[in-house]
Amino acid sequence: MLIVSGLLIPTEAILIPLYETALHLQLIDNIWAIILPGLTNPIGILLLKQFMDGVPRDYIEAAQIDGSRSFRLWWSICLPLTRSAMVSVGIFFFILSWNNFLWPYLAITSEENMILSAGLPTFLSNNNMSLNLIMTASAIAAIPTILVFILLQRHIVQGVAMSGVKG
Amino acid sequence: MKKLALNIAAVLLALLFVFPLIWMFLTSLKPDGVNVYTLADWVNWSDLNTDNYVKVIRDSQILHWTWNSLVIGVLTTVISILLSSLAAFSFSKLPFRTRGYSMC
Repeated sequence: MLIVSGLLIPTEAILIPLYETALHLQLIDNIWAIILPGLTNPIGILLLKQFMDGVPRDYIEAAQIDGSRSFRLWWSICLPLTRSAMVSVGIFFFILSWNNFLWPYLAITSEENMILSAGLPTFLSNNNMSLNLIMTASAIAAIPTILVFILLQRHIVQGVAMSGVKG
Repeated sequence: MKKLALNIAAVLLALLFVFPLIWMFLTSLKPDGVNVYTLADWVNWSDLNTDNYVKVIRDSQILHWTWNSLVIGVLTTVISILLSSLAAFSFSKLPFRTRGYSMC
């Protein structure tokens, strides 16, 4: 319940506390400011928990009788058995991170640390109404994504269908 | 007959989704200042060139930004998958007292 309720909080609601925290940790304009808030995601925990429930209790008990402790149970039994689910969830996380815009846009201030989604608006300005450059930049940003999608189409469709959420 | 109609509907829907992408690529290939708004711009392919690509790659740090995005995406994905998996394992298999409250 508590974990799932984390899904209800939109990014916009926690922007100011997040910025204050990053400021006090001196993480503004550092790529870790983008990585750290993305590390815990309730959807991932929820999905992987459903898959872990599918691992039979007998395996765990057999390993416990053989002397494994918690970490070994996770590393040697549950991790290999849920590998396909982890691939799907991983692709989903990657799409989320790639499409993330608002927080990277605020957290990164210098040009050389920018990420792609935050850098695209720099091609638009008040005195430049031409769309050609920003369209070119968008095309450059889109080409690798399209290639990866064509390569991994099956996994991505499976992952989106499984999690029911589109990035 | 019914299958044909379904196929046509699917193709039309797909075109609807691909249309902005085509517009993006077409505009990016036009010379500076020519925005593809009219039908004449859509069918006139004589002025297509790749100058914009050269200009964007040379004048901005877009390749560097792509690299940053990639690094952040991979790091976030790998670390958060491992953390989520650990949390999921404990919620699924380990007995502890507040488990029922924190995860249904």
